[in-house]
Amino acid sequence: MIPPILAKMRPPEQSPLALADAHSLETVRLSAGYGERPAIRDVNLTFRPGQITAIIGPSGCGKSTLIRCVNRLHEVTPSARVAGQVLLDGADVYAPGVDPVLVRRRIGMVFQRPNPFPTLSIFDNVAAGLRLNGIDPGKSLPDLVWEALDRVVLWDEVKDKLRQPGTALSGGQQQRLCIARALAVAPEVLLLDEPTAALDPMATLKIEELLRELKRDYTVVIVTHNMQQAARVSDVTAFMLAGLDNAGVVVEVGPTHQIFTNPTDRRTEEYITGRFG
Amino acid sequence: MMTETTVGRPGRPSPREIRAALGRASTGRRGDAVWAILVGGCAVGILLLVLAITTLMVVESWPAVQRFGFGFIVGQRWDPVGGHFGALPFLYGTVVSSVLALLIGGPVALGSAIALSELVPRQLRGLLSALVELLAAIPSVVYGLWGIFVLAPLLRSAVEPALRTALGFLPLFSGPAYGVGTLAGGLILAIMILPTIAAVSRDALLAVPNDQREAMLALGATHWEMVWGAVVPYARTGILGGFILGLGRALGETMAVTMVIGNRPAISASLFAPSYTLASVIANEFTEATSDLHLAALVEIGLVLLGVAVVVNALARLLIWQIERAGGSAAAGPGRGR
Amino acid sequence: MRTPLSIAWHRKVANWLLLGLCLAALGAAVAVLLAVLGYVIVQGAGGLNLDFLTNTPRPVGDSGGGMANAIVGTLILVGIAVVVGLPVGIGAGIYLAEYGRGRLATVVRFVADVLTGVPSITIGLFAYALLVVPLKSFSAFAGGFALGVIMLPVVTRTTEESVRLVPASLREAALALGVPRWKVIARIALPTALSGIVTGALLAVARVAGETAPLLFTAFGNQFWSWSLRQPIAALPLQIFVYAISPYDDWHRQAWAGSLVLVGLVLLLSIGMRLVVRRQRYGG
Repeated sequence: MIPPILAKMRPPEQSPLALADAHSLETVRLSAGYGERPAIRDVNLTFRPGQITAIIGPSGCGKSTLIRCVNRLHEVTPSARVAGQVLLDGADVYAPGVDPVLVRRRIGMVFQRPNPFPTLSIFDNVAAGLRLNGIDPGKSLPDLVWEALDRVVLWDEVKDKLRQPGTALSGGQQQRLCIARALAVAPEVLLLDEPTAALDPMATLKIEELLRELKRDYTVVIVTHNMQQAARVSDVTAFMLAGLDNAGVVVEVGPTHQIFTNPTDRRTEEYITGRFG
Repeated sequence: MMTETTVGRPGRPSPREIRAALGRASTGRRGDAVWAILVGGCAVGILLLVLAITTLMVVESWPAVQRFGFGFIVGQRWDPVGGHFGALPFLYGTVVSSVLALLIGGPVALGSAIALSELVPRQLRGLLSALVELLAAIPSVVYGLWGIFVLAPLLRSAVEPALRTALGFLPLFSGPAYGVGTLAGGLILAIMILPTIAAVSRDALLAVPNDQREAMLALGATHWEMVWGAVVPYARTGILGGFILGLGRALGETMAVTMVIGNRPAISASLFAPSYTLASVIANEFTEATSDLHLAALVEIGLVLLGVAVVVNALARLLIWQIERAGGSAAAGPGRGR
Repeated sequence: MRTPLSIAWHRKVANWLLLGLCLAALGAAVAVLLAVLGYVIVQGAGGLNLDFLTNTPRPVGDSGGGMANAIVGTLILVGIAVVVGLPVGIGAGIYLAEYGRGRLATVVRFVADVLTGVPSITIGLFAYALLVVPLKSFSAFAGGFALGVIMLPVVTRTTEESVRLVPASLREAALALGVPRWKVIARIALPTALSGIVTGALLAVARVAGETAPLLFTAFGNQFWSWSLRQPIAALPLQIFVYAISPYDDWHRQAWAGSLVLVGLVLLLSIGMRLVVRRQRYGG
């Protein structure tokens, strides 16, 4: 029985893709875990440019581990292990000889709790990705910072307090600052790990609006435990579930409209109608 | 609206250019290695330092070690002029003064800790704890000065005569009372180790979960019975660690003890008698050592002191680590910030 | 008839008595603190004058003179100690916090903890053997070195604690931007941990400023001004000690005055550090 609100959803828009550089991301039999404990198993997903892909599932199903494998952040944890491939424009980021630092510069990430650098000003936070990587754009730096802040619709709110510490903003503003910080290094893919989980509804809606704007220029992947958010914001949805060995697997993936109105798998239907999770 | 992804505005780098620059910029491989070596080197430096300390002390004391062997530790005679060096009086003095300090200071410290964790209102706890910890900030030589001019006269004029009158039949309180002596040394050390024991014990007591307290009260215990019957036993490992840490401090204390203990290498049963500790003899005689053998003997005393202090401290640290790992917050390291 | 709900009187008495004893113990501790500080302030104020703060010691028997060179000497020795102990201590602390899981780290941590309990006079012997014997002279450098060794483990542990406190989310944010690991530590973690590191350093400085024993045969003391690192140098605690055990009243008075200055210095550092920590906590 599908809740009426989801039945009102319109089919996904065809995004006007006029981009010259579009970057696709694909995981091939991606498995990962911590020491003896598996977290995800055999994940095969494709994330396409110009659209937002949402990954939903109950807590513990491995959603966060999955996207942390994409930008090679997972391996920073001691005892972490990864198997399989993650193809960015066809090239495996886990190929031997590939420097994870370079991978992370091409893939941006926004975290669940806003984490601006407390010792840096708002301006310096946005510029951090460039500066800390040794890039000095010289006179165009203010322009770049302006553009990033403008993109996340934060410019008007902070233009008079650029020198104040990054933590001097509200939660929603801080999160948009973190998105601006990620955008300032011109990533090809943007990963968001439950970006609005710690924010109030108003801030959440603002960020969802922002994401709809951003998908036109980036390949966007969002992990969310909030089904309604996935339904509101994404074009493609993947549903994950922890299997018997506690490793998360992808149960079903498809156009959001279809997943929420006519799922193929019984487990998907049970999840979205709220029978568990 | 078409977004500009390939064409940069005049003067402003395009995303393509930014990505290219990021791809070219150093990934820090070398920086990572340099950094790891630098800080790792510092860490190894600590190990090397300890090695160096032990080695140098053994080397410098070797003439004495060779000459006296094990007899050094049990020898009773310390006679630099005659060339006889036995460390027993100093061992005795160190142990007695430290144990005395524990016996006097330990209960007071534990009582203070109980008061701080169970009795004083929360608002006052920080202030009073800070005051107790301030005792640790006063330099040893200032305690010694206070000991010479305030404590020792007090002992000589009032306390020791009273003790002799009341308990003079015990060998502990026999003999002439000059004020300076074992009792003065023990008392001053007690004051100096009190903050250490109190702070560690207080942390251990505060870490006891409240349900332990509530369970005891539910059985109909009085406040004291709850504290002594449930809280203190639960925290006993931490408290023990604090006591041993305090003992370690007492063993190594030099200046305050030197100034009030009388500095006579004689083994006596009376608390009124002067005494001499391992640290004090080094402090007093080192710069005026009469021969190379004398010097080596003093360094050997330092070695003995080092050994004793390290063993006691290691024991204390092991105990405290055990509680830390078990989840209690009874940290005895610096900078607790409490 | 006694109701079953009342507590036997002897238990009540014991309760009040023993709890009262605990409070009395706390009171005794605070009373001793006030007694010591009180004497230092009262006795020290009597000898504290401009003369004292600006003059060097007079020969035995002459009255007057001061401890100016000792005060400056202490500052110099502390300065050397900071140069010797701070960089290595901070480096080791960073190592323990950032690479802290291996066996080497556990050993270093334990050794550092044990090192804090090594008697300071033993470290003085070490500095003597290392620096005084080969150079055939007591020196300010040897004294400062000894103090630096004493500072080292304290700084290491407080630095480790401060760096550990930096939230993982900050490091992850920097890593996700593609910042190399060493820069994450140097440009993000360290600046965030800076106030804690400084606090720990001040704590260590306060501790060594009052040390006397290791200086007895390294810095040795000096009646005159000394600016050379390779010559003996006066130090406040040393001077206090020498004067305190002397038979001259005038020197006793100066010992109290010197104690006042020393205690003032140490307390200033200790309390100042606490205030900084408190403001950190509540100021965000």
